[in-house]
Amino acid sequence: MATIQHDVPGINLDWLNVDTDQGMEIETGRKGLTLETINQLTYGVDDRDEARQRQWAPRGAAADPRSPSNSVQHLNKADVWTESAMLLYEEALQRQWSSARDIPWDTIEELPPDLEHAMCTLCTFLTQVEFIAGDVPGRFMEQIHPEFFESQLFLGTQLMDEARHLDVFRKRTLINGGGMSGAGLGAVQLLGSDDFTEMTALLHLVGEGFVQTLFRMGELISQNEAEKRMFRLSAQDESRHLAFGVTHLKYTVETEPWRKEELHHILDMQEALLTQSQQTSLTTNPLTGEALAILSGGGIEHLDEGYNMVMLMRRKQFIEYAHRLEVIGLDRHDRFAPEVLSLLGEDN
Amino acid sequence: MELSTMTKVRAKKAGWSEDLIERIEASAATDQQVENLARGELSEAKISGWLEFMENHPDNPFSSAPFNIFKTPAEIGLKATPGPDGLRLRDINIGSYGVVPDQWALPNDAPRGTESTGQIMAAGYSIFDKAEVWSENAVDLYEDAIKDRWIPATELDWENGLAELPEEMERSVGQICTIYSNNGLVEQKIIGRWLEEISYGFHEVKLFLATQVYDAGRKVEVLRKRALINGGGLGQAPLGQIYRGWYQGLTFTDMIIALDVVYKSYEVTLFESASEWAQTDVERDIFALIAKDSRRHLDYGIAHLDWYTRYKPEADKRLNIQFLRAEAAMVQEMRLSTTEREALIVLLAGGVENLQAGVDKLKTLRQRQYDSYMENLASINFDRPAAHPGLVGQIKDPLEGGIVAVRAVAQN
Repeated sequence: MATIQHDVPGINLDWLNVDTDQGMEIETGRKGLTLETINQLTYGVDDRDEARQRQWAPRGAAADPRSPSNSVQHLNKADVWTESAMLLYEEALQRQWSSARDIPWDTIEELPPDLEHAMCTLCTFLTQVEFIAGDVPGRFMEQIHPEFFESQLFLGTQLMDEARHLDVFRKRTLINGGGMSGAGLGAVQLLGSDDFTEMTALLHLVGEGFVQTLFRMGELISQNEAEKRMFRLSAQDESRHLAFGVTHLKYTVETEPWRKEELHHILDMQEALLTQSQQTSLTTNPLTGEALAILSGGGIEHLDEGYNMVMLMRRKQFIEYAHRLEVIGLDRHDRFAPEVLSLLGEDN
Repeated sequence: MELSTMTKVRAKKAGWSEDLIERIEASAATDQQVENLARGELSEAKISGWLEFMENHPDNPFSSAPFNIFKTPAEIGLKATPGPDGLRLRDINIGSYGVVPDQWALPNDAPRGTESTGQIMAAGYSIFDKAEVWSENAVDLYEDAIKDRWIPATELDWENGLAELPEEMERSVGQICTIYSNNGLVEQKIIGRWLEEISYGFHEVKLFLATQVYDAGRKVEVLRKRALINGGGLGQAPLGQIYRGWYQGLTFTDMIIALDVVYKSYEVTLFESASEWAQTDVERDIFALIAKDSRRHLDYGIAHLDWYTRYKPEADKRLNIQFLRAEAAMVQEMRLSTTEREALIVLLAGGVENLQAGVDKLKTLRQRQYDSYMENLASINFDRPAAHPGLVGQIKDPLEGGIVAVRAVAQN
């Protein structure tokens, strides 16, 4: 644009000619105007492995040279990136739901006390731990450089999802007379994560992965349509979180293969906890394990069937976990603890 | 095994027959198991079935299940009732679950209404004082945010709601979008950083803040999309001095004053005035939607301020300096980061031919922003007679500070 002449002192319109890309050609498709659609020209992320400036500036915009730097942000893309961030963000927006209106609470009828208390025990655990999965990403959002903002936007949707999970499981404990059980050890240990990739491994891959397996088996433990919907919708959310974690770890392994041993060590430690501490897993925690057995068996009189179902759940958690490791590119068969191999049926 | 007296009392209260009790005493069941089952007031049929399980599967790990699920420290027997809008968070604030103490005592993630029954692992929460975070409306704002959700990718008329604009107008729209998209990104970061400080007793506030993070992300997304779809592109990033105002808040309330009271007052008024400067239907729709989101954040900020002034000791000694710092950051941004005001001037003027008309309209807008800010404070009887003079300065001369800023950029 030609330099604009005007007669108002104090106005400088040089910003009209700032050197940023113009003329992006966009075709919106069935999914509308998505982040992937606008991932072009210098606004795109594909051609950069490191952030190009320290200041607060949207990717592709011209930074203000006076702008304060922010020192906590990762400048290295691999530290925070996944190729699926844009897709997962858009999917999250499409799949938001309301615990107030989208769960058919009127389908909950009076249950035998063992089933009611068991469901409320499970939901107490879930309402306790779910927002830790919100607190943790909250802290790490600050570490994401604006040039990799899509990862930050995704974590914002996870925060929203976890809020909804705290909310919906709390509502279940209080709609049918059961009330809450005592609180267990919870999940605050996740707040001790110091590195973004470590956080993803512990929270998304392990924590949410194991919970997601359970939610997907919600049909086995639900007693009415409200609970089925609750677990189904929550499972849908967890799938996105898990996908973020798996694809970030895969990206890390592919672009920074020297971090493999670091990731193996993180998982060595976490698997040891899972197999040796009862508190860390839904299926082994004394309270929730018992609750799951009662729910899946159909009552205290069917704990034999319930036990079989809990063992099936536990086995399925580890089988799915092992599969995700394959997707990531981390072969852990030589490193799995004997208890894990046993659950995978590989202890011969 | 003979059941203890108390367990027998519970068993009889549960309606179990003498025959059943005898059968229990003849089984491998422990007194603890039976006491807990009796607490649950399970039917005879259930207990009989359980005894059969014990007899047939003595080696099953669950044959020694203690049934602590029936031994809860929390209140039972309450049934929340959904309202016309479904089962909202306020509807489950019943009995002891709805009691929000002035000081939260638990250091871990135990939900409000119950207690930890075993070991406690303390988190690093730093906020246990209700006055530091609370607002009476957070519980409703959370549900309203979910109810009012919208999707930029598919619910805006990107195909037909835009029009080709003169280059300076398109660049000006892009400039506004660049600034406020960036603001949203930092808004997410600062709120996200504070979430893990807030203890679990105030979950309504944490849940509301999660919606603000989500809304801010949507603002980032939609404004970036608007800047890029119509040929103009992004412009110059803002200076970001305002972010220093958000970050320099060393307490949560400090930060909320800077972000959700001072900044949001100005942001909401600007967005709500978009019909005066937006150029296409898509912009009008975008700014109407993000205005609605931002107004929830402002509503929280004002309601929290209200609570804080009522219940925080020495609030009156703290607030003036907190406000002055927040207002100073706002003023510095308005004075030194000139692209926002200049883009508005071009848009309000309808082009670059008569910029003075745009300046005059910007004065009116700045007056409205200031008045809204004052009215928001007045709505809770919060008096602010000594607001930063720079705010009024921006009304008298919306170009104040501009020359200094221009010189600084030119030298760089």
